[in-house]
Amino acid sequence: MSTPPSSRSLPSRAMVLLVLAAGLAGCGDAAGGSAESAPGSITAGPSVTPSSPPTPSTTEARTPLAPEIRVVEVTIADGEVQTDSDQVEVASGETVRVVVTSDVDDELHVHGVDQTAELVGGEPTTIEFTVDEPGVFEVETHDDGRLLFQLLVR
Amino acid sequence: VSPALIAHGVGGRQDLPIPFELAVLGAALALVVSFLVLGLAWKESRYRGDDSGRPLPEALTRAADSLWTRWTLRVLGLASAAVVALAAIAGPDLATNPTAGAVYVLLWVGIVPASLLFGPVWRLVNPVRTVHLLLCRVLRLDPAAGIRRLPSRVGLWPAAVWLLAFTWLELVAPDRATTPVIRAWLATFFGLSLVGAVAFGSRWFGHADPFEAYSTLVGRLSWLGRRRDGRLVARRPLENLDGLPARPGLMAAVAVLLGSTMYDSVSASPWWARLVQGSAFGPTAAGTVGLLATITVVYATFALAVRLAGVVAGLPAGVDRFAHSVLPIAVGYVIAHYLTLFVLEGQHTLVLLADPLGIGANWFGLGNLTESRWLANQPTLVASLQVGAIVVGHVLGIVSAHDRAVRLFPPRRALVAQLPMLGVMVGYTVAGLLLLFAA
Repeated sequence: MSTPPSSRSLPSRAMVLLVLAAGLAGCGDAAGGSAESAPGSITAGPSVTPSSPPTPSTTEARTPLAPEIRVVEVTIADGEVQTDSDQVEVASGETVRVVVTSDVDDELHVHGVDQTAELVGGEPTTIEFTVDEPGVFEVETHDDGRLLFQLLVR
Repeated sequence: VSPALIAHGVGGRQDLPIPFELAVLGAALALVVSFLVLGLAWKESRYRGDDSGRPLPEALTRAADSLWTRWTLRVLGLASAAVVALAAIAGPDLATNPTAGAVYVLLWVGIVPASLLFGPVWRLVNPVRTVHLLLCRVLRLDPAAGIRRLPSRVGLWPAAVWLLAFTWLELVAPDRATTPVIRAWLATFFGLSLVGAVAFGSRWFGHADPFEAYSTLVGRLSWLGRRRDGRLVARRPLENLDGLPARPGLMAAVAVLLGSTMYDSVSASPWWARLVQGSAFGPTAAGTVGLLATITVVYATFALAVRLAGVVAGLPAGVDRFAHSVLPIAVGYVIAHYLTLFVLEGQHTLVLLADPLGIGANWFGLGNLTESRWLANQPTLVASLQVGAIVVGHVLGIVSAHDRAVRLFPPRRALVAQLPMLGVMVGYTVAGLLLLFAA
């Protein structure tokens, strides 16, 4: 469970973002004890940014690459988001791999699976997950609050 | 601010877009039924509002009106408000804090099913009303008496303003899912409500409290009502709706309800997110403009339609005389838009309420509840219910506008006079279906 910190000493903006990250009600695990009812499951943690993998503990949970992986590439430059589509449709249970290259440091957040990853300016970051429940889930950046695309899970 | 919160006050998940065929089917159905009603329905008004209904056993009315029932409901309202206030004031500002879910989901959305089932219930549990009552008891004052008389032409205008203030908080305000923001809004609301009640007496709540206004309006679509003599009756929802007084500000309140729900749909679309992100305005300014614009368009289009109807009929009628007929459309929208949010996040909020202070408590055993995700896994059912709610709301709206038109207007012109309103209602309905399809 990726709990938000309980300390109040953080700058208030970071607090706010963490609250948002936990996605008030509905964004899965952060909401105490509802892990089983969370709509998505993470088969692979926020995986290897080329420079330094920040979360080695999650790599062991990785499953072998499924034959069908939906790859979505996103570029953020000068505040502009570039994707092939604003809405990406996947089947429930399909593995989604999002590759984000941002020109500034930021944090990536996938709603519904409550998956986050650090974005290092200029370097591609990969995040991989599956969602097992139909619905629309937003993939966004935190610091500047930009919608990258919507994931339509059918 | 995260885009998910631009889209919604709470909830990290939205419903899938409805299938295109279903949207077309709904729109076609709405159109066909509209003209059937116009062509085939009764030519003389049938609804008798508060005079109608089958009386329920007198014992039921007595039980509902008993002091014991009234005080039980007041205490329940106070206790619930106290738990939420505790979470809002002393709970940690984290996603596990139940404040946002309690206010945006259990209260705001929950008012709709509660009022559809039992009528205008919020006035019975309204904690602000109870606090005012208790203060008056302590000070030996008459709660109904204010310092000044509230002119009746004020009507529902204060409630419309407060409804706007609440929807702005829910859909636009920066960091609106965080406890400090909600806390500040609630504290302001509480303070100003008490000032209003002291100034104008407890009837202020009926004119200004947005939650009471919402509950009173939606309660007019309930099967349960009260006859003029106070007896509880079972009646058809449209008879009930007909009894809604055409007070000043009624259309404004209805327009806020319909317009804000429309805006919530629009703002959840990637199209809107790109527009806001590319604009020079910040998200708060853009959201404020978007919310106000949507509500204004709803108000202006219907006001224009009623004005035209008056011109065609040769007998001008104020927009509030027909505003009741837009209410079912608004409620249909709300059901379509918030059904899954209410079921999923409502359960989740109940679990969070077990521990409002974040100390690992399990109050009332709420923490033992198992959240069911069943509805989230039924996209076809959800889409059908969404389209059904919009179409049923539309049909109820058309029928109530028809009945009001044949009552107010000369018989020979009543049908033609309805056409502008019918056109605008079809517009709302098609827009609603489009938003479900595209946003």
